Amino acid sequence: MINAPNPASPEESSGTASGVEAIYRAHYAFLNRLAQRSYRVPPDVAENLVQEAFASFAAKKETIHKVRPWLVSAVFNGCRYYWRCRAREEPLPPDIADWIDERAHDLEDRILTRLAVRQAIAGLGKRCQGIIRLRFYDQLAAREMAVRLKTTKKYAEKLLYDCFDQVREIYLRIAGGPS
Amino acid sequence: MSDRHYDVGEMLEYLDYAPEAPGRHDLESHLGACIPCRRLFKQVSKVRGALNDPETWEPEEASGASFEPSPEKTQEFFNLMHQINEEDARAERHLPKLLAGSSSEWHARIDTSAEYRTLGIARALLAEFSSAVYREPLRALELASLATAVGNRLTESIYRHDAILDLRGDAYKDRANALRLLGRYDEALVALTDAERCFRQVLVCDFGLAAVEYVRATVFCALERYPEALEKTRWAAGIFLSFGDDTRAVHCHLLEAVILYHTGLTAMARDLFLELIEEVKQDSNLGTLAGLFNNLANCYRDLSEPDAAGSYYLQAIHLYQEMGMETEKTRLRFALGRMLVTTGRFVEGLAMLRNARQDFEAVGMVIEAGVVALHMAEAMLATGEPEEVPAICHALVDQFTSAGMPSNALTALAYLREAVATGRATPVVVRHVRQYLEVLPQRPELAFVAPQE
Repeated sequence: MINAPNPASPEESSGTASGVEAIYRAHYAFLNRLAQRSYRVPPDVAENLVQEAFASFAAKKETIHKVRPWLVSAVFNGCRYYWRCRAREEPLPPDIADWIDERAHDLEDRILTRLAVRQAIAGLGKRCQGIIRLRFYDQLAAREMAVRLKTTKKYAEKLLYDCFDQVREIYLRIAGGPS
Repeated sequence: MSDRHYDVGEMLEYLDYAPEAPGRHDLESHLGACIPCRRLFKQVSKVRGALNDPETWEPEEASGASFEPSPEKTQEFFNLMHQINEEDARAERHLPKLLAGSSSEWHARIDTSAEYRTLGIARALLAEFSSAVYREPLRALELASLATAVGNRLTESIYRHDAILDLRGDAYKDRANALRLLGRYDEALVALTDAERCFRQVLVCDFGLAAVEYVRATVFCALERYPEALEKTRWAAGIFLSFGDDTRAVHCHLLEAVILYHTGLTAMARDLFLELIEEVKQDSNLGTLAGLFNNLANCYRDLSEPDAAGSYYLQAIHLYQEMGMETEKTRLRFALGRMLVTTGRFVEGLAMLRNARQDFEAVGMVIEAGVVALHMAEAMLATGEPEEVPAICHALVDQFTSAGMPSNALTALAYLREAVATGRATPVVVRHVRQYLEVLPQRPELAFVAPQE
């Protein structure tokens, strides 16, 4: 029989008071914006949700492994709870089910991947940023990219794959290891 | 299947052009069998999906909007932190006094002294529980019960509503875990219902609910309610992953593999165990890794791949030796010896069984040593080398008698000794006696019935 997991060491120095306060200052705005923008929660509700997530975090800090994903999921959890309660009171937007049902974890995963990938793009050099943009924002095929880059199709593909791999590596560092 | 590994470019090309991608079938069959490539493919798909999502390219928020906390909110949170730290420090000082004497004295103290009715004390009790649960489950149960009692005495005039319910949820869940380890499954399920009720009332509930579902899955697994156990542990794994808790997610997946094994899906269980090796290694928990190797060995043994099984048994034995867990090490040497004997490698197998028998005897595990000895006797009779069998039977009767083993065990061994003496002993007779002794610890009242000849 496999035993239940034991708590492991937290990844950030969340165990101390100053550590938790630093985490609060570092993550509050990000979480508040996430609740308001991604889950469309009103500002006053979002602030309370974020505050509650931090309160819960502070009480459990010794058993939390990765601070940021934990806080993000806690806020998402609170947002879903808010919308579930609202859904009982009044008619809501037609896509509300996406935010409050079990599939919401996929939505959260997509939001977080999107945010991490956006950060990863920002971490690239200018040339790589341009190449990634040509392919995924402008949606150009390799042949069209080659024309823009004044090179061969094969070399354009090579550049694209190298830049994509850089995005992937930066993404993994931001997201906290292979998933 | 293609043996070479695939790179990011080839995977991107496949994703862009599938189902017409050239070499599509080779790549798909390779991904089915190659864990590192499968992992890379998942990353490539995920990043590519995000890059193709128009929202990824939307401009950042206009600089005018502020999402920073107000000074009041910041102060409110820092005050809460201060309260938590103060209470935790006080709890550390008070806990030894609270836990002096018997558990009934502990409960009396929380009724009489307000200093013990704090969230800090309850948190300290649950921390104490965590370090005791696998070594002393009975004491751990007392600690979780006391934490529950403290939790039920906390009031909202002092603490946040969610903080109280969160604590109660944790305490009930820990109580359930201790009850599970003690084999009191019905009571464990009741405690889990209580835990779930608490967590469902808090805002940040999913993490607590996932912990409940994981423990529930372990209980269902013990009760052989495998489909329910599988559903629960998979759900919990998803939640733990979303909270960035890879360690707990890995434990859920390990349980999933154990369930697959018990339901006869041995190849699937093996594949999942194999996938988890790297993650368990990263977690640096040698006990979990040893258990994983042991489970893998059992899978390979059942899949009739004794060489792979032997290799994993040896790795697990090595780890248990490193951790000083002698009994576990001996159990695995016994399992390896049995496997060697059943695959025709009698000399090596008997040597391994002989060592395991001596090790069990050395630590006074009489029944286990007896069962090993009977495996040896069975193998000797099956290979036409019965010379040592009478001596084994005599020694067993002597050992069981001097260890004060129950009379029904002695009856079974007396029957076997008689069968050996009269030349009626066969591998089937020895197996019958052995199987009886193996179930005796769970069913001590079971009478021995001789096999039909």
